[in-house]
Amino acid sequence: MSAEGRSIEDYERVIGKDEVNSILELAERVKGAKVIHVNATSYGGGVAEILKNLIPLARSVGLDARWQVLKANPEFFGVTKKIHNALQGDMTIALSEDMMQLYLKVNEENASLLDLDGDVVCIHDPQPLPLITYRRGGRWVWRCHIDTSEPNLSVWSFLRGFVLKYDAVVFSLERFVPRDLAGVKVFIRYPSIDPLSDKNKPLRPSIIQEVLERFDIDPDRPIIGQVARFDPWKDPLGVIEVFRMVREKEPKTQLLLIGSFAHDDPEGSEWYKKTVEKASQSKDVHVLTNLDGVGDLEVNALQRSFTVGLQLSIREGFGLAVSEALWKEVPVVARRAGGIPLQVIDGVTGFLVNGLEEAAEKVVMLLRRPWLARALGRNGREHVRYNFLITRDLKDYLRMHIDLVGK
Amino acid sequence: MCLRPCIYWDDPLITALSIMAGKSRQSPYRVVVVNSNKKVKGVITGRRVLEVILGKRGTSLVESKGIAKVLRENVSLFIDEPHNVFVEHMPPQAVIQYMAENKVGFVIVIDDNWVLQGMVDDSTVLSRLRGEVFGVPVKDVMTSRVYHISPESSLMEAASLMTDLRVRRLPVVHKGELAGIITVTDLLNYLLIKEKHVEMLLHDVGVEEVFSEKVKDVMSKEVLAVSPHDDVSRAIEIMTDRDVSGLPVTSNNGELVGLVSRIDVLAGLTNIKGATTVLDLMVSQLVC
Repeated sequence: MSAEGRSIEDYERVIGKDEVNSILELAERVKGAKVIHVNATSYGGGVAEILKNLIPLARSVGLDARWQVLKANPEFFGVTKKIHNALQGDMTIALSEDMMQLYLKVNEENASLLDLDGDVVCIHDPQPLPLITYRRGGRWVWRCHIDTSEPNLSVWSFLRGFVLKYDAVVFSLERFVPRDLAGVKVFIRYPSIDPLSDKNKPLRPSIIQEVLERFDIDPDRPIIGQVARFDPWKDPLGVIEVFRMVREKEPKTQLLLIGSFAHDDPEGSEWYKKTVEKASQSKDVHVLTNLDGVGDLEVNALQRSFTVGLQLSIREGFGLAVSEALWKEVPVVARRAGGIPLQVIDGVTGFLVNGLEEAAEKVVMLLRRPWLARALGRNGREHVRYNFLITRDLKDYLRMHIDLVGK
Repeated sequence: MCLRPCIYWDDPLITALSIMAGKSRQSPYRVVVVNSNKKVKGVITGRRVLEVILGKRGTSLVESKGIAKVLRENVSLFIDEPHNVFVEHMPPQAVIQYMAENKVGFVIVIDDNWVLQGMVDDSTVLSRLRGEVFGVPVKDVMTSRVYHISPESSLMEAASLMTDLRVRRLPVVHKGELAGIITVTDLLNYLLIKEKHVEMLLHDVGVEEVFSEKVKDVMSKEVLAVSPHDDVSRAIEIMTDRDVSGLPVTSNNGELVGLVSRIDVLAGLTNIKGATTVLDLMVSQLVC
């Protein structure tokens, strides 16, 4: 992957000179270290989003940071999606011998295709996990972005043997750390958003207006929406259900469901179809994807048009789309999944709900009280500024590199 | 909100050890790290200091320089970034709700320029609940899966177990009965109070040798425990009055059945009684 982008100095206006200097001082300890990140997809989903922004930033502070993407066919991603779902708690999944062999074979092939000769090699999520078998040197880190608090144990026991070979593992939350990893070096790191990326940078109102018009969305009526993959864990059908309830009380409301198709997500098109089918039963529901021309800038503009954001995920690795909405001062109504309660503080930056009816009630409350929505949105932006920006994430990575290879 | 001691990011690591080791309330388990302008730069905990001494953190530096030099390195190399930060004008209920919802033991409070204003931690919050009776038994909020250690084990084994399991205390069990408790702070005290141990580390004596004594020689023998059927108010009372962060839970015959920590109580009560009830009780007394 090419890595062009912003430099650390660009962030001075967001985090201040003092913090930029702190980052440079830390980076000095690992200057020139070759850090290779490997994941499954270059587009779609939170990991690609983070790496796209983090790699150029790491390079700008003196690391030789690189990003490599696994080369694999849809059958492989069919297997790894099952693994993903099993780690997130789907107890019905059992991996057949053929599935395991395919998973291992693709990793073996990639071991010779990819450059894995780094001082630090960061492997993201389960798809490239077995690459550790082909380690030729360096310190290896497994960064798990998934909620593994209640994994399918038969699948986890298959993967655990690989995890134990790593020098360190990173989870997003303490409760995601599997109990049988005692003795492994564990880091807890919250993921982050990039405030200067196309997806989050400030936009002129005229651009927002233009994007809304391009997708035939009425800018004069209230808009609610969810930004997430089309995936059962994100409950897009539940979002439409909430919208129906909201419309009974606020009939002018519109719903946007925005997602993208990632290369490593074979279920995406199936759930997209289900979502479109259910959406077609209601007026004013817009289901938009990268195939409709919705890129990062469009997501930014559309999310900024929300009066209320929704994140009704049942399971989440972290749920960074919440921080993206909060950064844009949009209050979020969400379920308590993954890292969402770290971002949505009930009654302060949005509302945490236990079910769809409650979600609809809170959305209506916010639609009818713009002053409340504005106040929660402002709190949300501030909360993200202090906790979930990429510059903090970069420092977390630098500290981990110092721990592993620092001089 | 409380003002706890903080340390500067260019202080040597051994300063963190000195501040954390001790028996008084001024010897905290975690310390905020600031720069010369008092801007928050991170947090260091007792467990982190112990991990470094064991070579489980700062691994590369410990391997290349030895523990003696690492203890004199800037503490900023070993800290965690501040992960739970609130600006001072956020409402107190937001802070408490965040802690309870996420089982976070502390948050850092700053002003708009990242200058440290204080911390809200589980002990601050819990002390505001002392004297209330909740009608909630300890068993409903405790952690049932508990690791323990034998009094005959070495301190090295205890230190390794605590860092491997990511816990800060281990009940000590002898012949099936609770015989004491040993904490990260006990191990740091052991290093610091018997000064020869720090001296040994500073002369690169192996950590196994420094930690060669037995658990029974260092553990707290006074067993502070609660029954699973006690009201959580009893656990709050003991933890507040004795300034301990967690308690073993024992059955009538002295068998260890669980552990209850300050954050277990806070999160459990919020979950069971409802956030509003608990928050109302706390918030009315939180800001002083």
